[in-house]
Amino acid sequence: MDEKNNNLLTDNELMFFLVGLLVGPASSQFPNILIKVAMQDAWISAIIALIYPIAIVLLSSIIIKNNPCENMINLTQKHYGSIIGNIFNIIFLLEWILTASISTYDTVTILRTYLVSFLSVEKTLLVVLAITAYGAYKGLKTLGKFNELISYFMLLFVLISLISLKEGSLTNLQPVFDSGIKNIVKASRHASYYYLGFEALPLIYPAVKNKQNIKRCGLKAVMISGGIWVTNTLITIYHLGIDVSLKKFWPYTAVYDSIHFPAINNFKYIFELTWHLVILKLISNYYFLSSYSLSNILNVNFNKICLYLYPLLFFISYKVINISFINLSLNTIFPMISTFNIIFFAMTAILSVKRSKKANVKGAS
Amino acid sequence: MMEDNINYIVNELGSETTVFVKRFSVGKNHSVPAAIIFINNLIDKNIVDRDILTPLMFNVDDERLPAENIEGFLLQNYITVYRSFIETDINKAIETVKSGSSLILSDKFNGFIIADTSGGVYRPIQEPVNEATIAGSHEGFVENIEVNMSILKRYIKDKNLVFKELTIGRRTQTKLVLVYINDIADKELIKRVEDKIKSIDIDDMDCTGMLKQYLEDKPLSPFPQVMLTERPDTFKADIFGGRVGILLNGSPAAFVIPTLFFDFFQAKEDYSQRTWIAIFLRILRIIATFSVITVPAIYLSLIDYNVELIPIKFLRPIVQFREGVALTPFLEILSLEIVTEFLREGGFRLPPKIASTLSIVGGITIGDMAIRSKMVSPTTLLIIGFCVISSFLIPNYEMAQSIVLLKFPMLVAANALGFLGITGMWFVILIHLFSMKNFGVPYFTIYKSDLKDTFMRYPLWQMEKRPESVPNNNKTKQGKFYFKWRRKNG
Repeated sequence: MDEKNNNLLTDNELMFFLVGLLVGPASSQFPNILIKVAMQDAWISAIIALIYPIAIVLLSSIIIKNNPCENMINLTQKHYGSIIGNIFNIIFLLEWILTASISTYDTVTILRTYLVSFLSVEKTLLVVLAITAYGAYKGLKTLGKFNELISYFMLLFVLISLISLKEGSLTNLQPVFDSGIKNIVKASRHASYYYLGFEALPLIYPAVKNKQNIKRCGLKAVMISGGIWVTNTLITIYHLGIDVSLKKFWPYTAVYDSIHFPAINNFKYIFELTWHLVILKLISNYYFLSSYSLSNILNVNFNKICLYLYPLLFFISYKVINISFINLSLNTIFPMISTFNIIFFAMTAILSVKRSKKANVKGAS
Repeated sequence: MMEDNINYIVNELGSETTVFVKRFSVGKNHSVPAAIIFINNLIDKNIVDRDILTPLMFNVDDERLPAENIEGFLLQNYITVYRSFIETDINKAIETVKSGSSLILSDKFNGFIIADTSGGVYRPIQEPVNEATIAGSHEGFVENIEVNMSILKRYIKDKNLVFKELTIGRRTQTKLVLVYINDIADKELIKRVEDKIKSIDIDDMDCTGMLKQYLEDKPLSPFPQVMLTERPDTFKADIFGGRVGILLNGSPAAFVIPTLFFDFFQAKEDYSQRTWIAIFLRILRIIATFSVITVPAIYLSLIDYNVELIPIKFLRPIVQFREGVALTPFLEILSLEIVTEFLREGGFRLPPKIASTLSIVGGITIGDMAIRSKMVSPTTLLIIGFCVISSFLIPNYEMAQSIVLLKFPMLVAANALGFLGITGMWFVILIHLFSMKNFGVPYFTIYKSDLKDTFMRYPLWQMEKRPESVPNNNKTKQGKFYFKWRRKNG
């Protein structure tokens, strides 16, 4: 019995945990963000935007290869010193806390629109955060298993959405490249928030069973989540067309309106019910990453941080996050964070390689 | 000196009323004074009379007695009990008397002669009432641990079968046996189970139902972590999977460690039925389990908060039947659930003949009157009835009880939070299940290789490996012999 190995993430768990960091409440809105700029070519922007997570996975794998035992927080402190290192770590942490809060805000909005209009924002927020805090509190391995199970249901629902192809029109996607290459590339930059999450890889890898498979798992996760985002955009445009899509707040959800099963009045709600598990899982993942990073930075017990984070996330989601803040985040904060991530990861990767070479030379001499 | 020993032994055995001491002389000429000690109700008196006292008192030729090692000579030539030996440690000798052996002592002996004279009346081997099968064996465990061990030994001729004896309970000193296949079971798991059992420091241990609660890693979890069985064939199949079995004297129910979540949904019958039927039954069980927990909550959410989701053809009769119903939907469902639980528990405790009356009174009279008096609507009764029947599909009674228990918090959550409550409760249930461990083994994990025997039941010839979820030292369960036949048969 290998109990120590039983506590580590398997390849599938790691892959679906990473997918679980990308696909969540924003998936319903995602097509519109790109359609605004790239029109019917939005799906091409969704493909181009995949460059960012692929770059992060590749840089992460270099960092991991050269530092097989230390996580990103400790590594940053080691490479940049405790003051600058911790400043970088706090910017790194900001990404998790902001994403957790915005996702919670989005979730509460979707929930109150579709299913629990009778509940107040505060109550919904309290419940959503309590549930996700429980998930985070139980640790990475539990979340990994949960992500794997729920992801199979998620993929099933993405496949079901393909049924709506029978009611769409190919003309909705034409003419291709009509919006111009410049706009397609510009739109892909707007996707930065939706493609954030793979930065968790160098943070959680010490808890992964097969470290030599991390790069492969990361790239597979990019393929799956990228596939979901591209399918999501493509189907929305194909089914609704860009004009109708822009008039809807959650255009991807509207795709499920066209799916009919006998004895089910509205299949969209079945999708919503299952999708809420996907959403809660995403918030729980970010809740975990926030607590884990904070406990590493402050050297405080993870479980305590998990509890302390609850009121903080409640406050941010309730008081700080609103539509204008989300717009500011999408247009300014997250593109900045993604730029920072690329530079930060590249620098850390270079430093890791240099240090590793130095250590090898010393070892050899 | 013999008298001192007798006094010490009687004192250690505790009860003067049950301890019996008979003083006698060995040999025709009464040359060796001796005594035999046993506990009155634990022994077979015929064995003592026929195989010990008669030969020692009437057949021993005094002149042939050696000067040294008299006890060895007597054991070899006169005592006809097959399980007899010499014990020099007085405390170990006393322990054997507690299990039904007789102890013979004399001043001229250098040790004590111990003869297994255990007897008494026990329940005969019968088919377990709660685990009856059509095609399987009809043998069941009984209260006598020796009989249970002999049943297992008859089933498993393998030389690697191990029976490891332990004692539990400071005062009851109940015999407990760990059963495992030495070259299959994981050594660390065996050690862990043994250490945990040895650490249990209590006065009495009278049944496995109690013991399992001391062994469970998460005693406050709603899910059972140990599955009791009275079927030797089920027990045998589990220890072949690498698990460690536990038999307790005085209890006909045995169990294996670790028991995992999906084990509770597998019936012995699954393996003796045709593949498609077994698969169909397993799918039914999954649907039933989901239904018991969720259907009343979904019904409540639909009629309380999301009426727009009910198709209009269903909505009309629901509204018509609900007209004039006094209770709120939540109270209506909750009261019916509680009444059905009363009936279930009552039926379980009562003798079978009265239980049928209870089901008539409960099912027909209360159900009918509840509708006529406008306390509940027929649709609600239908939903509750469906859930009660669904709960009978779960093959393990303890798991069925746990699943039934879960529907109450689910109902409360649905009443307070609608569909968010249902999703949230499932989130919490799944996270709880994923976080649980049983003796270091994940309680709820789905391994790709184990899918052959979890949600589905593949043809038996495809189950070449032992379950990956249970740690074991021998992965292969059967050879790939079937493929040879298929090739030959074209």
